[in-house]
Amino acid sequence: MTSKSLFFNLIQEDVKRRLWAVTLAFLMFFFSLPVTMAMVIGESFKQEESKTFILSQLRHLLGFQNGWITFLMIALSIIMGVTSFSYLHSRQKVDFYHGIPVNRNHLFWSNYMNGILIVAAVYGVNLILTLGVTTAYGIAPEKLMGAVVSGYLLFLLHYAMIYAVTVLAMIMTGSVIVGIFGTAVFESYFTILLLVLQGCYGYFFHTSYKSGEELFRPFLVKSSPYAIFINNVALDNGGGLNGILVSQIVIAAVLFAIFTFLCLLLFKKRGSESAKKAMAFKISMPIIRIPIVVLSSLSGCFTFWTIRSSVGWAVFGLLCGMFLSHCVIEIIYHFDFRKLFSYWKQMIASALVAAVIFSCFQLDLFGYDSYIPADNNIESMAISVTNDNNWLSYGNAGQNSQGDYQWENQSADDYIFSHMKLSNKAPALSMVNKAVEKNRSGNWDRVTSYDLGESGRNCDFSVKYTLKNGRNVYRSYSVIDSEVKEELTQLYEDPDFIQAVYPIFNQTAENTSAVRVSRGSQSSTVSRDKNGTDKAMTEKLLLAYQTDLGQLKVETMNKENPVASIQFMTKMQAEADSKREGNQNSWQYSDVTSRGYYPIYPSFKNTLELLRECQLDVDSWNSHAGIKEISFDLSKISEYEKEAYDSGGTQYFTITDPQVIDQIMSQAVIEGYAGMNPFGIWNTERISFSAVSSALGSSSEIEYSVPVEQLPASVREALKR
Amino acid sequence: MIQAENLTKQFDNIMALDHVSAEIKDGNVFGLIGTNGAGKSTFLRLLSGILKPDEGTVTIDGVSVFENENVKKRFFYISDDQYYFNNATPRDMMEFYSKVYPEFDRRRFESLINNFGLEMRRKVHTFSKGMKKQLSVVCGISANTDYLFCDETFDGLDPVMRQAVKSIFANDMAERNLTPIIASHNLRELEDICDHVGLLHRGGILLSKDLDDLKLNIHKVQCVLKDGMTDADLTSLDRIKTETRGKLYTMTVRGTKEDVVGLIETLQPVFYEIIPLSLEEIFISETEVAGYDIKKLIF
Repeated sequence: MTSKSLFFNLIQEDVKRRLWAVTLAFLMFFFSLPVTMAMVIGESFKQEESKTFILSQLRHLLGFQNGWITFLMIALSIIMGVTSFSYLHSRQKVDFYHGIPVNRNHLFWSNYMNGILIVAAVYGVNLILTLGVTTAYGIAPEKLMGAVVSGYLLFLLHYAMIYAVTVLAMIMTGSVIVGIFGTAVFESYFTILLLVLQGCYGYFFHTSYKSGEELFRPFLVKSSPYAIFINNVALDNGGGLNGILVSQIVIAAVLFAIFTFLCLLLFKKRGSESAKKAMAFKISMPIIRIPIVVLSSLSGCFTFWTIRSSVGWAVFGLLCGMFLSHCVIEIIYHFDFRKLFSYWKQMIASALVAAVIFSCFQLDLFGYDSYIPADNNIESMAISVTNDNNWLSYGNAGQNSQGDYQWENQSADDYIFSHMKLSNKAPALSMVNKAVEKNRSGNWDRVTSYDLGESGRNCDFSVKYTLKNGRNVYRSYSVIDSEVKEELTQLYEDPDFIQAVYPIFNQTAENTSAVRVSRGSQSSTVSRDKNGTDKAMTEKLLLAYQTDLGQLKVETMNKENPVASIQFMTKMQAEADSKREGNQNSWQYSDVTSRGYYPIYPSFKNTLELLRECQLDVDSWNSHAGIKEISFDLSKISEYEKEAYDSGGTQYFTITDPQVIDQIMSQAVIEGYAGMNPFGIWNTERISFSAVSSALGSSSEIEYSVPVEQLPASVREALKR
Repeated sequence: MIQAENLTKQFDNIMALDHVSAEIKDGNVFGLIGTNGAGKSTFLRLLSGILKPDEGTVTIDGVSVFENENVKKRFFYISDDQYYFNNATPRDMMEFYSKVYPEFDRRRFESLINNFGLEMRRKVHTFSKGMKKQLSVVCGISANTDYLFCDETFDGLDPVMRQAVKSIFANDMAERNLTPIIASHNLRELEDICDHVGLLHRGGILLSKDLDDLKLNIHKVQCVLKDGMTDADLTSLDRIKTETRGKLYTMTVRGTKEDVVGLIETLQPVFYEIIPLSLEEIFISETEVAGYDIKKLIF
């Protein structure tokens, strides 16, 4: 009983002494919550926003997605952590607190809990004030209560976690400044280390997986309590608690418990005589210094290598990193400039470790770039040809708790690697072998796919090997396109490959609500599932398209180009589309409804037949008879041609001669579909133009592009002038 | 009773206390004297449980002090540089101490504050050094603890105030058996008030005795020997220090007055005189034996 009342007495006294911190926290929350909310609601009413939109905004601001509150929590964790235990850094205060009849357990818990309770109380009061503000505007509190309560609890949990780190740093050090440095080290060391390693990985390993940041991301988002906090806020898209977020919250709670335990343990172990020393525990000095010197040396070495690419500069960077970090830390440790070279042997050992790590990357000591698993060790293999997938949308349409539709993106590699298991690995392995051979020959520079040389464009591709031991190995390569033409042909005729590349093969009729066909800027819905009446046509079209695409041969792609595009709208897309029609914020939905278009080649007989049944004039798609003129926009052509336009010439070069039009159109492809054909003209130098056709008194315009070398000589000459 | 046994405390490479043992009896004034850096403050901080000894124990009536709330309620530690909360007034300090010391006497606090001419509502940071010292004594006395640990508490107090504090101590010792433990350089002050003295030097305890015993067992002797007699004839005396000026020998000698007189008279000196030593002289003599020679410091 006495202990309990003493505990609360101590808390009460502590609050009195930290009134400034309480006031600061209150003001921060006051301007961030009730005041901001009043302004947001007032502005929304003025803009006559819908009630749903305002509610969605408020839930976002009051929930666990508010980035500003995240920042506030981080700032408060430092302020409260420092003020809770800064007394440990003054001998006078230590003598006072440790001399009174209060044992250290009570002293710890009263100070520690107060740092959390103050923020909890101040945040809670301001949330109540905010609900008062919303009520005054006629928004019932119960509509916001879910976001308010979950936001409050989650923010406090994460605050407690990062607050514990600051407290830990304060307990481990003997001065406020060093304590704040300590917090920075705890919060950033592993993040910086991973970023430097990621930099080395991407820079030195020529076959490093291009989406390599995805490899490091799972570690980066867990690399520090701040990173976990920020990532968890980003994970909460307002859609309530999902599995990943729940597991992350559990991690935050466990970390909070671990840090609290460590704080208590070290607090009890900490000698009162540690006040005014840089570090309270002598043993922690090398444990903290050595990793920092290693990282600093490695960073210096890598930075100077990236700037000058020479061993000399790399050594210079290594030495700079080593001396700067070691000497600064030693000066801080001893508060004495003359001690800067203390423990110089450890300094040299740390730099050597950094040099070894750097060499592992720079000299590829472990043969990363030449690694190809033995065929009999590969369980399965997948390949993603990067520059052929750009036009495809991977992911799904989704809806968050605020009712907003959004496209939940998935990377092409993630989708392809999770869907592809090549039964015939030979073409892919052959491509890998050629790429590794090219790398061995010393041509390390990765050429972008847009760099066109005499030998043609580059083909960038990534592979995923799933080994028999369960390990996944990722690599990215780059070869000249013409060197792997045969392998690409085999791949694009392999059902295992194309069924994994095109998500349409996994779409079912049940999840398809409408079919839309687009050509140029015109589009029409040819089938819509209204009360099930068009369901049969939707199903038939999907099946027909899947058949046509599955049977598409490389030979066909070499000869033909898409003449139109088709979209099989999922149920979610169709929902977004219907909402879009009556919504003033329709632009918000276009990102969702414009995704998932696939090419229609002239040889897609099954599809075209059904579209004909749907009253589409598909036969006109191959005819150029209606085109009366084509015009080249000179301002979009290369610089020397533009000069003529700038010097007062006309902006457009127009052709009306039917013969020349026919000659150009026979080689042209609709601009929007040029990238859809992996064997089409998009890998050549091409020029775009608009073709104007007129029929029944109205005219329409479609943007085309054509290989420059396919233009009639007279046109090429004219364009050059 | 406070018992310190084999107390050892090292700060990095500095041995602050090296196996120090002492016994402080209830109802006495224990004076802790020592050279600069001898470890007086460290000893008090160990007694009050602020520091944890590397070796040894501190007990009060057989119960360990460190991390023991109940035992710590029995003493109040006045540091040499007492901490007061930012912007606190004496009233704020009273409020705080009354929460952690169950026997804290608020009325006495207010009365002492008035008697000392301090103001309850004035910010402590506006007080002079001496006023802060007064406040620390008022807090310590009002805590009503059995023991009061004072680290250089008399420093900064004016003579009148020193006398007043001594009177309060004497009164509380008589009324409620208070035991003050006072560390100080000001040996003249301690001489007036102490019953028992502990002398610390370079982390070790040189002696711990009742002041009366200490004074009765060490004397200054001045004598002129007969012609032909020299320093070598004085070997029967337990001399700590001998100075010669012409024929006049000035010696600091251990032993009771009777013993010393007896030994001197057997030498039949031309002249001799026994002079009692002040605490300061005893301190200088004892520390000189331990190698803390004032001459070495000056020359």
